[in-house]
Amino acid sequence: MLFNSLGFYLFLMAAFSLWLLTPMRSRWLVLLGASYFFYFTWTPWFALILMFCSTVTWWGAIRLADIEATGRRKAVLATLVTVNLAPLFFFKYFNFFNDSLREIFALSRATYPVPHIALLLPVGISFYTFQAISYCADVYKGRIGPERHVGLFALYLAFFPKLLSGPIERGANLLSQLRNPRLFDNRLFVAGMQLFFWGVFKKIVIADRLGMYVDMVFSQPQAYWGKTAILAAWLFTLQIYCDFSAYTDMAIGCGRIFGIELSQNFNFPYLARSVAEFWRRWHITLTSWFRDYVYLPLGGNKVSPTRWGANIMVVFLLSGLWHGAAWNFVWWGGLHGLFYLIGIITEPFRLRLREFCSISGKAAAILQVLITFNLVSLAWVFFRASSIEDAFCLISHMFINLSLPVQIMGLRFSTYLACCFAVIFIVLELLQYWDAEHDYRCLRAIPTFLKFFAYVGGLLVISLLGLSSKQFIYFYY
Amino acid sequence: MSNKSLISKALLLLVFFLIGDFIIFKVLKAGLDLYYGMNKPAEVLCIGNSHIVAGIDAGSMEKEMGIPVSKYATSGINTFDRFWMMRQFVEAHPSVKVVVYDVDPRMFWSEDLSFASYTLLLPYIDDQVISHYLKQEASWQEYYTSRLLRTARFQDHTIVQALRGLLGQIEVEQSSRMRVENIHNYLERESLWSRNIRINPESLKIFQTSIAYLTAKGIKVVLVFIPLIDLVNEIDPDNQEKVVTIFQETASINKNVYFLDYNRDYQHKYALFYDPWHLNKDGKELVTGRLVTDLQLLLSLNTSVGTNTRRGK
Repeated sequence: MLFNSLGFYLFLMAAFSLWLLTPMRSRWLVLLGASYFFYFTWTPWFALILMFCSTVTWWGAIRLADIEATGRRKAVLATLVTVNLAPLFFFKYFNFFNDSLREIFALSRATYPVPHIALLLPVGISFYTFQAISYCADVYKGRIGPERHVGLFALYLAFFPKLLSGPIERGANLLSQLRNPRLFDNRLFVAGMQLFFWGVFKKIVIADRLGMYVDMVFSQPQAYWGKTAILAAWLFTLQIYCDFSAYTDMAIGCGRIFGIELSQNFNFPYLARSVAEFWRRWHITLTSWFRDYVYLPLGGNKVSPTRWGANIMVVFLLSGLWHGAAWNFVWWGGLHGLFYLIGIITEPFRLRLREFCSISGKAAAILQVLITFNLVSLAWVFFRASSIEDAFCLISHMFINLSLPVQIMGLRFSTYLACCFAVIFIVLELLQYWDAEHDYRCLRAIPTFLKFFAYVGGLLVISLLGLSSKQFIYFYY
Repeated sequence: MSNKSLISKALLLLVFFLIGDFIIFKVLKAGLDLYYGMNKPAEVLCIGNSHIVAGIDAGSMEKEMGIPVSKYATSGINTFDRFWMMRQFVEAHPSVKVVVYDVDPRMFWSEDLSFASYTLLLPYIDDQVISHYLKQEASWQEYYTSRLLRTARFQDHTIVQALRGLLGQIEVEQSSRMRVENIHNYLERESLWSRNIRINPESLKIFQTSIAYLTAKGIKVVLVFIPLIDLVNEIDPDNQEKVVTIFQETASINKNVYFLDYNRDYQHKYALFYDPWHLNKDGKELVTGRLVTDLQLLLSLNTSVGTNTRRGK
């Protein structure tokens, strides 16, 4: 059940009505039931893995809090982390490592006995596993107490708005809200609905339409050159942001409808002036997860410069692998690590260069934003490409036949529309960024009737131009 | 904001949304009707996919023949869609006397042609015939979303057609000529050299059902093979011949069915093509002229058609 489907809207209405009619103390039960029902609509038996992780983590965390001996506490934590990681490793990474080993054996002409296993990846497993691990680590560190109510804990892992694509919530934020539910707040409800439909708009009007052009180029990177390849990389950069931030907006919007405030995941990432800043603005809950549970335990920056560089690379490589079990994701992560380190190493030199060229603050900022955007776009090519070969092929083609016009094939209207929406989206982002810095003066100054018609117009655009999952595709012959 | 005020605002939003939905749908639907020629009692109906969109000018036909001609054709339409489209049109317009049915060697294998082509018919979901077809093809979510929200029946492809209809730019005319030196690269890129012609029995059956349906109503059917370039024809010549034989046999056993093979005559004339599968403006003009002559002969003689047409083997 996708967020942008009629089925989900009906489900949401039913869940909300039931939640509203249920007494406060039992509302968690409605949310838990709705969350598991939502999960069941994907692949029912995968819910057993979620149940297993929930039960073990809940029980283990209580044990962890009750034990005093450091050695035993560490052992329990290690066990909990291993138990949570095991399904993730098996379903997501088994074939990746297995196939890679087979290729290594094949190079040395040795036989490799373990076959490839056809596995379906349980939806949302990467997200709830990380959430479970962070909970165990937080209980271990004493940052939060263990949740003794099994139902509330199960809901913490399974809460349906954030189950599939995050945000990766911490116990301190979500569990406390689940323990102390709010009364229905119509302001929060309206804000939730607004954000939810803004997410739907970004996903099905902008991101999916940008995806049509992107898919055309990335499906045959050897066939496209110059401006077409560059445009595809830029459009994918926008597509993935619109797509992912749309899911986050829909999740946060849904949460608000039920009186729950989920964490922010994006903060104008493409306005970052460096790759380091980009990661403070992009997928914030994942970045902070890696910072708190990988980078800092490895020593963070309080180690030798070499070790520090290695820590950064480890975090980025793991982050790449988290996004997908394929080498191109590792390259993507590695490239970001490299950009990050180069950015830090060259900072003094760049400052001197800026002074030498007497570039003003604003011009330098614009230049930095543009450079960062292009570096990030370059890295996204590895993320989107089907293989490393395809990524290198497309990148090398970006510098060939630059005089050729942009190829659109049978997607003329869709591509023009996508580009128009991309421009509108960029302008809106800039306005929001500016307005956020000025306490949303502009937004508050817009007359109510104009806002009202903007909502009507937005909903009509969603209905008319939103792409359904079964979009007509003409193979052009 | 009180709950009462929230509910009244939500209801007002819904009302304005539904009004907007209705108005936009009506405007676009009117454009689409103009584009497909749904708004007139056509005597000649041209039905098919992009070959006929690029290859036949319904407006010129209408002028030359002096009778209403409609072109209910769009890219990516397969034989199943065509059957229901034809039924929809013929049941709404009993004036139809001749159906020009676009045929090509790959028409019995729609998997290589398009995906979810039935969604192009969603704007006509209110029509009983199309509604029946869509109920079979679409998921319940798609079907009922389109039923509830009228604007959701459109997508990029149909919006463009509706806008063309509203602006009166019904004929798609590609004036550029195919560059011969690019053809090999193009065909290789599309991996078409290895794409053989196949026949899906279900598709063949629905084609035969379509012919039977039309002839039972006393409508003449003219199967027209719009030209493709010779390089495309040479990809799988044996199977192509088998499919062409099906068209010839269909014409030979039905006295009201004719087969016009324009492919044979123009496949080598690259100047008439926009790309390997579609005619350009010059090609369209030429083929439309030929079709008008042949149809006039067919309608006047009622027995055979022009010199370059074949009726069966």
